[in-house]
Amino acid sequence: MRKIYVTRKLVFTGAIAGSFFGAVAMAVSVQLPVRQVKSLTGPSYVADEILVKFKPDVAGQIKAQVIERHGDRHIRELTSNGYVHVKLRPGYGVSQGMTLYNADPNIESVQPNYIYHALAVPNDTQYGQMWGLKNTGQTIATATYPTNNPGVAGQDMDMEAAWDRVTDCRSIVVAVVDSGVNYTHQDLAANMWDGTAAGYPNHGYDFADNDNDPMPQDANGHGTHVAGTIGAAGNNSLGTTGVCWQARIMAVRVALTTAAITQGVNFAVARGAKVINMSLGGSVYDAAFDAEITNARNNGVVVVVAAGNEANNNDVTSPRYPCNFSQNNLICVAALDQAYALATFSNYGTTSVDVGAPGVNAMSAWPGPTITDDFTSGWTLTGGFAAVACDLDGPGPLGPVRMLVNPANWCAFGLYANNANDVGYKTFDLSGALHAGLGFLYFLDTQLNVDFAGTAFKSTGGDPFGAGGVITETSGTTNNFAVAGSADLNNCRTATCSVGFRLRSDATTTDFGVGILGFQIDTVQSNSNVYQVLNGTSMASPHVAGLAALIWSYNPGYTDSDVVNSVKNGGESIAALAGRTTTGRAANAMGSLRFINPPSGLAASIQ
Amino acid sequence: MKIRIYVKPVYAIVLMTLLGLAACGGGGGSGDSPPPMLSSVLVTWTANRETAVNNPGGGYKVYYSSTAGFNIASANVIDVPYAAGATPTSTTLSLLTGTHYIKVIAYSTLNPAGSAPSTEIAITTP
Repeated sequence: MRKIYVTRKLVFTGAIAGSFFGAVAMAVSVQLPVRQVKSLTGPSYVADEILVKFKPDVAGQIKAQVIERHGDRHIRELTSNGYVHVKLRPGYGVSQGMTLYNADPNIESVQPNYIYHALAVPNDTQYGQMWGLKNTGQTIATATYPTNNPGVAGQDMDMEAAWDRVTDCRSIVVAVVDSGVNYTHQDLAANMWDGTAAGYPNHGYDFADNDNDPMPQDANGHGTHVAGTIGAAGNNSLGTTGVCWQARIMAVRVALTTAAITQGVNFAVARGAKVINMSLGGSVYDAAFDAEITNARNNGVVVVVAAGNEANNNDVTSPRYPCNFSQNNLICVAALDQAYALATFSNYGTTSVDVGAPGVNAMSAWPGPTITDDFTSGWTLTGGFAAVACDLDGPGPLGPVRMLVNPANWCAFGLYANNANDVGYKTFDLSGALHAGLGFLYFLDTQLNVDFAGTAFKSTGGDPFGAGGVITETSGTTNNFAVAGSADLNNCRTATCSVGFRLRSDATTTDFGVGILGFQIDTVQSNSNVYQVLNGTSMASPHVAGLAALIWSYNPGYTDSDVVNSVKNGGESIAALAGRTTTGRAANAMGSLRFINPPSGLAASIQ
Repeated sequence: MKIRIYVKPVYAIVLMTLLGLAACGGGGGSGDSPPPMLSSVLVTWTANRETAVNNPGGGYKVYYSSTAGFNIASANVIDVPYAAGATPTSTTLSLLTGTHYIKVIAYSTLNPAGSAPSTEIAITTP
């Protein structure tokens, strides 16, 4: 059985699986009724008032005298059952007031004047699908992770209670070191870092192409999705909301290399980011990368990273970096599902991984419409090319998968023909795209350097392997594993972009040929209104990066260590993370706002 | 030097006259062992950085006991709340002769039960 097993040395931890296995981008078209935000900010009870219940036989005159004797002010009688609303004298707090009144023989009971908080509910149209922020036991309609969908109500980050206190993270710049961000997305444009004064007019920098535009030229949506989880505009009547309703997101596009990533982190630190999210990882210890995390530490910057998606114990099986770096400004995040079980793909580790956060069926911003194709219609096929359904193995058997193959009996390990010059292509309208990129998976078995498989595109349509087409070829074997293929379609952004595949062979010896699946054209659209559901520790990490910014916005006096302590100690203890993380906790916004560090620097001296 | 020696005992006597008689059970020390001294001990700590601790409804609680490693649930406590625009980071304890153990928690309206205690310190008063 041929196996789908995408391997790379350094990967973005999450989007690949989601985008290749049928996650369909949703265009927002339904307008739901606007929900009113009721928001009361402040403490849990009024600081200088109490409610006093007198004994039943106490006359009204006596009540007034009692209150006057304490030096307090009678505000009103609340009901006919004896509660009196009292304003305490200046300098007296609720605790003292209650002690004094409780000692008075005329008093039956006394309590604070509690403040009830309506939970802050944002009116974003897709909010109802955001189980990680508010889990009602809802079914995620476009889910690609089937386990525990629907999940369990209440298994979420308790955002609504936290949003009642704080929603605006603009005082804390969050850098997304990733594949780039479509900063024109309708739910991100208002929440991007303005670097104009510092010489960066496009909200960040691109260390992959070494230019000042972090837009994803390869249409990779990973970074856009991560950015949306941190700070998609909240309560703006459309799309999703971030953990932060308002934010300053710095887009730092990087290639998956030490040089690019370390430059990216360095840029973020130097330009004033206080939180950095890196939903990426590699398996080899990298001293230069380690030193860059230390640089962030020395500048008081919190770094939040993904644990990885190999279902491994990072402490035992194989390490992941940056997760396994040991600086104390680093938080490594595992992925939880809708029932707050550990996601089956999530890495973990009692030394390296700190907390868990929602990381499956996570809806967030996407750069533009995605075109997926299963080869069943619109394709011109010549020679041995055929559109078929084949049984493949993934992590477990996948059942029939729609593929484009050559020869037609590829599924049964047939051999391609000699003297072949076969093509399969289709024409797409990419005229609205800022950028476009092709992705697919393929199995390959051709006679090495003699017979060739090729990918091509042509902006004027027709056979892309004809004149004017841009062709890339390869040869050899992928050993019964599917590997990722791609093509940059930026020079094909016309209404008639033809994209296709070719198999050509000489007169001697043949092999199993080619099998292609997961065909997808990602596009970047100006003012994109597209949202997508993805799975990965890549999605869990920005939940925590957004939380770090939220905590820090609420507590501007905090150091980076305070923020890390708050994230770790304010989390909710859950069974799935016990013995799998340093804290055993799921990141929790209200828990973190409640968390208070033990006082320090205690000293006593005799006077 | 000489002045210093004479000043101390005088101060101690004055203190006891003002405050110490009650502690000595009213009768004073006629014929009994000398009454224990009360010392004024200034306790200070670093301000917490939580916003809510430094706002109305926030504050600290200072716990003290003669037992090392004591449980705050059964100790003496002084409440140091936010007042007049700030949350103080000190308080003064009147402590009898002996060794006293002190720790502090911080609280706020978001977390009225408060933080875990600070590290415990000890002070021996004369």
